[in-house]
Amino acid sequence: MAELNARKITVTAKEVRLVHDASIDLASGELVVLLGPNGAGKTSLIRAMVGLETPTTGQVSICGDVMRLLNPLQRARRLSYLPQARPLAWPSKVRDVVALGRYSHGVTIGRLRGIDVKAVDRAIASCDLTELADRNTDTLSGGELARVHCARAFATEAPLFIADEPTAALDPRHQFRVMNLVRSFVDAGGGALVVLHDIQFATKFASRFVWMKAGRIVADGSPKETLTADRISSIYGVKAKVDGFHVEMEGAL
Amino acid sequence: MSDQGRLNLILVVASAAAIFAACFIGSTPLPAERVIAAFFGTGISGDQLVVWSIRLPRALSAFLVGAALGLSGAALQGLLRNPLAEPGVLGVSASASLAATFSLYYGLVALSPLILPISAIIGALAATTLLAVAAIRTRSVVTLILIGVGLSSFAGAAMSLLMNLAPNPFSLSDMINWMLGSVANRSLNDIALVLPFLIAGAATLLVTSRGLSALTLGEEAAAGVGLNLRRQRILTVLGAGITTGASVALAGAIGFVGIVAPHIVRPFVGYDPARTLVPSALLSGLILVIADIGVRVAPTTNELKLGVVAALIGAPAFAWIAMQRRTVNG
Amino acid sequence: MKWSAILLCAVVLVGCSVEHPTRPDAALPMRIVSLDYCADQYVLRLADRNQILAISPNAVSDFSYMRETATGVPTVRPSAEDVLALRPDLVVRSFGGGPNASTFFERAGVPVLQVGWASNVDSEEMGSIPSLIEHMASGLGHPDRGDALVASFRRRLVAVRKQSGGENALYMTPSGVTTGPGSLVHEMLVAAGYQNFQEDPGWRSIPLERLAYEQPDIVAAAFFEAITNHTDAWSASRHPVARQQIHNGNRVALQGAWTACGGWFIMDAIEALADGSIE
Repeated sequence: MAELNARKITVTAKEVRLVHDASIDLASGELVVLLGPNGAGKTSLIRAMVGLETPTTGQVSICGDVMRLLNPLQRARRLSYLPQARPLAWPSKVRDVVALGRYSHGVTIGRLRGIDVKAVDRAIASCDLTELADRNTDTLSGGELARVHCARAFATEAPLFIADEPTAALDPRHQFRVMNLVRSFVDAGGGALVVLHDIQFATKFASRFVWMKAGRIVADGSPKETLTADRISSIYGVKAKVDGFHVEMEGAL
Repeated sequence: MSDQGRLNLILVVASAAAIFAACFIGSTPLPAERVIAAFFGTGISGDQLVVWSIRLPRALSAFLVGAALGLSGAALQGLLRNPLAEPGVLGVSASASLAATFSLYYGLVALSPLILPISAIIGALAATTLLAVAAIRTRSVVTLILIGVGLSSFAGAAMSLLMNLAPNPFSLSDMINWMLGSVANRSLNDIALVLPFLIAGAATLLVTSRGLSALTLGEEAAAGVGLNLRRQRILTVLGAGITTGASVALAGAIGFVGIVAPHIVRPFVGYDPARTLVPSALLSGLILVIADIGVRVAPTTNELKLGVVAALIGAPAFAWIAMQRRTVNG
Repeated sequence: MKWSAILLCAVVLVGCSVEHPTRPDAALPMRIVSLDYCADQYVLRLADRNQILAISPNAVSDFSYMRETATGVPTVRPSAEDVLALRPDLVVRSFGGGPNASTFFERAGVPVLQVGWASNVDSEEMGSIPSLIEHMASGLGHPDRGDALVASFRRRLVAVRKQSGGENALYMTPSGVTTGPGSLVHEMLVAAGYQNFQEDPGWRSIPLERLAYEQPDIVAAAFFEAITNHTDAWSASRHPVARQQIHNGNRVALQGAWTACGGWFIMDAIEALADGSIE
C-alpha cells in the first residue's frame, strides 16, 4: 500500500504564485484525474509532487518519507513520472528506451541483469510493443511512441505513476489504449494520477477527480460528486450540460 | 563477447597497428628490419633512441589527443543531446590554448612545468562552465555553437594580442601551433606531464556515463527516472574540461576531431550515448594517428599542421551532419 | 575652403621634386628615418646622432646589437603615414615597411637606402659584409667611417684562430631552427673553421633523428640568452634528444644580436666560435 501525500503546497516562480496551498493524496488502487484549464498550475503541482520542484511552502511525503530528503534514485523507485514533453534525443531501439525505466535500479543499457530483463519484457508485453521491440524509435508513429513512453514508466515497477497529459495529440483509439494501460496498472495494485483535458473521456477511467483553477485545488472527490455543470463553467469558463456522466460543452461564456 | 566488446577490441587492435606503423616513418629513412629490432630492444642504440624517444612519443601523442577529444566530444554530445557538440566547435579548445599561451608568455610556467596543463585546463573549464550555464537557459544547441564561435574568435584575437605584446618576434610559428595543433617533437616527458590529467578527466567521464543514457529521454523524464541532473552536468562538464585542457596542453587546439568518430560509432552501439564513449575515444585516436602519418608523408615543403588535416576531415563532416539532422520527436 | 585645399595640394605636388631620386646626393642627409632593426644598426653605427630623426621601436630590443646606443633616440613605427609626417630626407630599410615600401617612398619623393643582403663574410665581392658596410656608409654620408669599420673587420677576420681539426658545428636557436649552406650563418661557421653539421640548404628544423646517431662537436646556441621565461612549445630544441646536445658541454653561446641581421657584428660570433673550441 503506497501513498503520496502533498500538504499545503505553494509553488512560486519569479514572484508569481503558480500553486497556492494545495493538498492532494494519491494511494494505491486509485486512478486520479487532475483537471483544469491551461495555466491552472497542474504541471507545477505535479512537478512538486514528483520532487522535481521544491515547493516554497508545504511538504510532500511518499511512502512515509519526506520527498525533499530522498535522492533522485530513491524517488524514482517509488514513483514513475511521464512528463508532458517527451523528446527522444537519439533514434534508439524501443527495448533500450524501455530499459531506461530501470535506471533507478542501477541498470546500464547493454548490461541488464536477469530481473531487469524480465521487468522490461513485462512492460513491453503489457504495452503491446512486442513486435516493435527491436525497431528504432524514429520509425514509430505518435501512438506507438506514447506506448513506448508508458512502457518505460511501467518498467520501473514503482507503486505510483504520475503522467502529465499522456494522451495529448493522440487519436481516439490510442487515447483509449494508453488509458487502458493505466487502468490495468491501477487494477494490478498501482496508484496513478493523470492530467487529462477531455472530461467525458476522463469519466470512463477515473476513480477520483481533482479540479484545479488559478493555482488552487477547488474540488476533490468522485466524478459523481464533483462533476456538475456549474463546476465546469466556473473552472473552464464554458457553458455545459451535464447528465450523469454525459458532458456536453455548448460554448464559451 | 558482446557486440560492443568486439567493436572495442577491433578498435584497440587497429589503433595499436596504426601507432606501430607510424614508427616506420620519420626524417631518417630506416629500413623496416631496423625499426622492428629497435622495438624489441635489439637494435643499435641510435635506432632505439629514434624509435622510442622520437617516433613513438609522437604517434602516442596523436593517439592520446585524438582519444581525449573523441571522448570529450562524445560525452558533450550526450549531455547536450546534439551530435554537433564538440570541444573545438564549442570554443573549449581555443580557450584552453589561450590560457596556456598566456601562462607561457607571462612566465608562469617557469614556476613549475605543471602550470602549463593546469592553466590549459582552467581555460577549458572556464569555457565548459560558461556553456553549461548557457545550456540551462537555452534549449537550442545552435545557440551554444554560436557561443562557441564567439569564444574561439575571442581566444584567437586575444592570442594575437599576446603575440604583439611578446618580446620575441620569432614566436609566430608557436602561436600557429597553438591555434592549429601539432604533435611534432613531442617527447615522453610531454606525455607524462599531461597523462595524470587525461586519466582523471577520462575517469570522470566514464564513471558518469550512465546518466548520459538517461538523458535520451530529455531532462524532465531523465530526472524522473532517477538522474541527478545537476551532478551529471557538473561532472560531465568537469570531465570534458579536464580532458580537453590536458590534450590542448600536449598538442594545441585541434578542432572537429570529436565530431566524426561519435557519429560513425553511434549506429553500432544502438545510439546509446554511454556506449559511444569508449569506441569514440579509440576511433578518434586512430583517426588522428593516421592523420599524423598523412601529415608527415605528404610531399609538401613545410610540414602540414595536424589541426589542418583534422579540420579538412572534420569540418565537412560537421556540415554534413548539420544538414542531415532531423529532430527525433521534439 | 575647397579651392585653397586644391591649391595647397598643387603646390605640394610641384614642390615635391618630380625627378626620381635614386642615390642620395653629396650633401649629408640630416633627417634620417630607419624602418627596422637591421637598418637601425647601420644608422646608429655610421651616422651622427644629429642626423637621425627616428629609428624603429625594436632598436632597443635584446636582439639589436646597438641597443645601448639606441636608448633615448626617438622611434617611429614603420607606417608610411607616420614616417612621411616626419618629413625625412632619407629612409633606411632592410625589410621594414613591407615589400612595397621602397617604391612607395621613392614615389613620395623620399630617397630610400636599402640594406642589401649579406650572403658571405668576405669571400666574394657581391653580398659580402664589407661591401654592405661600404654601401651603407656612403649612403649615410660617412664613407670614411665605413672604410675604418671594414678595415677593423678584416683585421679581426685575419686574426681569428680558426679551428683546423675539421670539427663540425650545429647552429641552433630556441625555436629549434638551423640552417645549411647558402646562408650567412653557414659562412660564419666556416669562417670560424668548422664544417656545418647541417648539410641541407635553407632554414629548417634541426635534424632531430640524426642527432640520435651522431652529435656535432660544437653546438652554436644562438638567442638562448634572450629567452628568459618563454620557450616555443613545439621547438625541436626542447626534445630530450636535442637537449642532451645543448647541455653536454660543447656549446658556444651566441648572442642573438650577432646573427639577427647581416652586419659587422657577425665577427663577434665568429670570434666566440673560434675561441670557444680552442679552450
